[in-house]
This record gives sequence, structure tokens and C-alpha cells, in this order.
Amino acid sequence: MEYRVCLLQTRYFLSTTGVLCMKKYNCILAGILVALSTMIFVQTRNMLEVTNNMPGPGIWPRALAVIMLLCAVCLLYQTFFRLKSSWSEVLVDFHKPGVHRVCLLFGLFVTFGIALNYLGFVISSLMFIPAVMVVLGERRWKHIAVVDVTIVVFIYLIFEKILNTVLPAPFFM
Amino acid sequence: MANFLNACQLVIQPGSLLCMLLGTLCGVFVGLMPGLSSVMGLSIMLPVALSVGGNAGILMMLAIFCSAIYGGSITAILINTPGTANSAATALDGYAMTKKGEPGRALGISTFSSMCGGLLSALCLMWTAPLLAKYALQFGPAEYFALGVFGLSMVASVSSGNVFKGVISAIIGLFLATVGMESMSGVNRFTFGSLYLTGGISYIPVLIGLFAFSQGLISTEENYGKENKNQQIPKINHVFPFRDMKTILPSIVRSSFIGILIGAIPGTGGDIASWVSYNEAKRWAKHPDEFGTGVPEGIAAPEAGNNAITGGALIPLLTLGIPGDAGSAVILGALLMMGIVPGPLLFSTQGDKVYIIIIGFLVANLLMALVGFLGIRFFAKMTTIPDYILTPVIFIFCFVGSYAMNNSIGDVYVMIVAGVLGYFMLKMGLNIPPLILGLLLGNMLESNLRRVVTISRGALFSFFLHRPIAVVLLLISFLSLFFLPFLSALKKRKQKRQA
Repeated sequence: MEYRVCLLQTRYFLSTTGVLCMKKYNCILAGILVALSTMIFVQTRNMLEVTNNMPGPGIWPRALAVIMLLCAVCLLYQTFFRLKSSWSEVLVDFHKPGVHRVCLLFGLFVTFGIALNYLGFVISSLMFIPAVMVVLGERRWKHIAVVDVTIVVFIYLIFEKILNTVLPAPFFM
Repeated sequence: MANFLNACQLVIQPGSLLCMLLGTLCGVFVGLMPGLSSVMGLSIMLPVALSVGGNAGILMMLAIFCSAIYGGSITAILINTPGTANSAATALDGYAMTKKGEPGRALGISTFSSMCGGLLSALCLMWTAPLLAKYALQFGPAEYFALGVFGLSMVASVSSGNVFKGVISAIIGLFLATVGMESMSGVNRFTFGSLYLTGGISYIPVLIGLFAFSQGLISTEENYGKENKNQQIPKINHVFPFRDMKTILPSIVRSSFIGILIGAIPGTGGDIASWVSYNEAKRWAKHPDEFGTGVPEGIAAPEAGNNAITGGALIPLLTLGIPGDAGSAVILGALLMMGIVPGPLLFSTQGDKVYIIIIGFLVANLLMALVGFLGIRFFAKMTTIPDYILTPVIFIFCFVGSYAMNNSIGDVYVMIVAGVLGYFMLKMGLNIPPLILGLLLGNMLESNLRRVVTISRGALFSFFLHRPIAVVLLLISFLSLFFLPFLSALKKRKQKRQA
């Protein structure tokens, strides 16, 4: 009986795309934990058991990997046989505009992170801040321009001039 | 005594006071803005404090730590929107008093009570920390290992609704701490040939990513469609609570001690302290039925309670090196980065630093009250800053802060990954504090366990039998993780059967 319930739940898992519910999330988390613990065992297989009369460097990570595996099993058991929430209970819905906004920001962050390395802080921030403001729904261009320049100058003054830290410089400087 | 006087001298220097003032302003700001939290403020300002460096940097972090909790009460009282979870109890009577037309009085009571709670907790810290540290000097590797497990298990079991998820979070943190060159054998672990990872995963970008960046993303999502809603801020008059002093003092003293006790227990937080304090004030009141209608004790009790946890949380942090909550975990990260290793040895090796922290904490609370009383009208207006300005500032600070520490673009990528990870963790109920604590305590736990194994020559059981403190700590950890949830599950099942 429980086996059939398991099969049914797996079907639900595969059929709900674009949505993360607690059960689906728990399954993904358990999968990540299993993968992580396997990776730990593979990576530590050549490490010595004992160094300088002390336990070797691989012992502690392996102990963590075992606990990870146990947690993954417990989480799966809890998800399939104990958790009362259903597969339709949505925690992150990728179709929602709020989540779209977050996904857009993810993309912007990665672009900004790369741009920071090549274009430096000032140029990339002058482009990043308006982009974030537009994603957040601001459309008044004068407003955007004033806020953009103010934030960049403010942060540049604080970090570069007052705190004497080095901000990323463009590749041509 | 010499350390104490030196610390006083250092704390009242203009540079230190200026940094503390800046920290206080920043703390009150992040506290009062709904969506921003004290931990977020601490994480964002951590690189700034480290750039300032030395004692001034530590003092700045302490000022943010205590004033952010107070800041949350301003919006709770004025617009019934607690800036942080710690101020939810304050909103009950605070907003009721505002509706009666006395927002200034409510804010005055909250400021005064927060200051008193903070000051009493600082005095308690000054008195108990050296005593506890003397006792903790007897600790060996077994006790340290047990203490680390105790701190982690308490945070994992209390801060998460699901114990397994708390443990998973802590284990991921412990695993992240293993990345890099292992200090005893010099072997590279999980670096995958990357030179960047050889030095280990840096705390700062992970802290910023998990606490500030992810929270920024959550706020962005939650504020969708609420962009044009303007809150009406009531006019504020008469902020000094002279006429309420006599009524609120007993509540303040009682709640402060509750806050200190709760703060000293790892895994608890200001929200628990404020609700317990509120309930106790109601229980001791002559007219408990008036609570919720805008009584002064209803504001004073939760505010004194939640601010007192700051000093309480610093007790285990300074004496044992175990942070009590997420905020003190960030403080621990800052202290470690500044070369200060909290623990019993701190009192004998860096006694001057301990007293700078304690005296600084006292002065930070006084500054908080000064800033609160003088700038309350200004702070009230700041709550109207729109998201489209605030959000880019937070994100840019996260990026620049992550980069500025080591001038490494790798840190920026780590911060982005941690931020995205933190977003999904928060959405799915996987708590962040155990992960951070695991990352911070990982090396300490591993090295002490290896020492224990070496000293005991593998006979761990008989070795621990001669270490009663370690055994008690491990037993409490076990009970908090498995036995208590098991008991509550049994109770639920019994209730179900009876129904």
C-alpha cells in the first residue's frame, strides 16, 4: 500500500513543473544531500586515515557525509509518510510576477558580477542601478538618473575616499 | 582595573564615538525599515567596520547590534508594522497608544525602556562574563567539542520548525568549513584545483549573501504590487517619558532580566524575549485586562526584554565563543576577522579587548537613547523611503562589501551563490543561522574532536566518562535534537487518539 502511495507521489512530483511545494523541495534537498555526501566520499577516498598520530583529514568530512545521508533518508521518510502538506501547496511559483522579478534580478546580478570585473565599479553600477529600478517598477527616467548617480557617488566616496578600500577598476585603467 | 580604565579612555575618543554614532544611525535605520533586519544591517556594515578596523570597527558593530532591535519599535508604534520580529509585541500597546493620539509618549517609553534593557544587560555582562570565563578556563578539547555541538544543536532545534532541517542546515555549514587547506596536515579538501578555494570559504561574502542579499530578494518579491502605498506618519510630540517613569520601572527591571536570561541561551532570540516579557508584565499588572489598549507597561516590557538579549547573547559569545543568535554570529565573524578569538582565553590574553567591548556596549546603549530621543521625528520620516531606492542601495552595498574585503571578484560570486541559496532556504523553511554557526564553528569542532581522539587513543567512551561537563552538554544537545521533538510527537498522537 505504502509503495503505491510512493509511486503516486512520484507521479505528482514529475507533473508539477514551474512550482516548488514543500514535498518537492524536500525531495530535491534529499537528492542534493545524497549527491553531496557521495562527492565527499569520492573526494576523501585517497586521504590518509592517520596523520601525525591524529585522525586524518578525511575522517571529519566522512562523518559529516554519513550524517548527511541519514538526514536525507529521514527527510524522505518524513516527506512521504509524515508531512501533511499536499503536492499542490505552493511555496515558490515561478509563474508569479513577484518570482519573475526575482529571476530577472538573478540574471542582473550575474551580469553585474561579470561586468564589475571588466568595466569596474563606476561604469557597471551606473548601468546596474537603473536596470534594478526598472525591474522594481520605476519608470520616471529623471528620477532614475538622479538616484543612480547619487548612489554611485555616495558609495564611491564612502569606500574609496573615506575607508580607503579599492573598488574594481575598468580593464582600460 | 587598568584594562577597565584603558577601555573607558579608548571608547570615549572622538573617532570611536563617531563610529558608534554611525553604527547607531545605521542600526536604527535597518531596524525601523520593514524588510530590513538587524542581521542584514550587521552583514552589510561588516566590511565597512573591518575597513575602519581596530577598536572603532568593533564598536561600530556593537552599536548596530543594539540599536537595530530598538529601531524596529518605531514603525511598530507609528504604523503598526514591526520593523523586526522582535517588536511585534510592542505593536500591541504601542500602536494603541498612537491611535489614542500619543505617539510621542509611546516612542519615548520605548526608547527609555530599550536603553534601560541594554544598560542592565551590559552591566550583567560586565559582572558575569569574567566569572564564567574563569570557570571555562578549566575546559579542555572535550568540553570545547561538546560546547560546539551544544551551540549548534540548540540553534538547529530552536530556530527551525523541523529539527531535521535545522540539522541539515548546520551540517551544510560544517561541510563548507572543511573546504580549503586542512591546517594540521596541509591537505587540500574540496578545492577542485581552485586556488581561490585553498584559503577556505570566506565568512564575509557568505554572511552578506545569506543574511542581506537573500533578504533583499525576499523583500523584492513580497513588495510586488505594493510600490505606491504610502503610510501616513502621525505627528510626534512629547517624547520624554517623565510622567510614566514610576509605572514602567518595575516592568523594565523584570523584563531586562528575562531578556538577559533568554539571550544567553543559544538559539533563542529577541522575539521570544519580548513576548515572554509582555506576558509577564501582563501577569504582574494590577489591571491585566487593560493590556492591548495602550498601557505604558505594555510598551516598556517587550522593549526592555528584547534589547536586554543583546547583552545576554554576548555572555556565551565572549566567554565560550558560542554565539547566542544570528546577530551575535555575525559579531563572532567580525571579531575573528579582526584577530580576536572569543573564548575563556580571551579574558587572559586580550583582556583589554573584552573591556572595550563591554564599555563600548554600555556607551552604545546610551548613544542609542540619545539618537532615539533627538532624532525620532527624522527616523519616522525615513520609513517613507521607497523600495526602488532602498533595494539597489542594499544590493550595491552587498556587492561592494563582498569585494572590498579581499579585493577578490571570487568573493562576489560566492556572495551571489550564497544569496540565491539563502533565498531558496528562506522560502522553504531551512533556517540560515545553523548554517552560519556551522561555518563559524566547523574548524573549532573538527580540531577539538581530533585532539580528543588522539588524547583518548580511540577510547572515546571511557574518556568522556571522566569529563562530566562535556557529557552533560552532549546529553542536552541530544535531548534538544531528538528527545523533545519525539515527546511532542507522542503527545500529539495521544491527543489525536483521545479526540
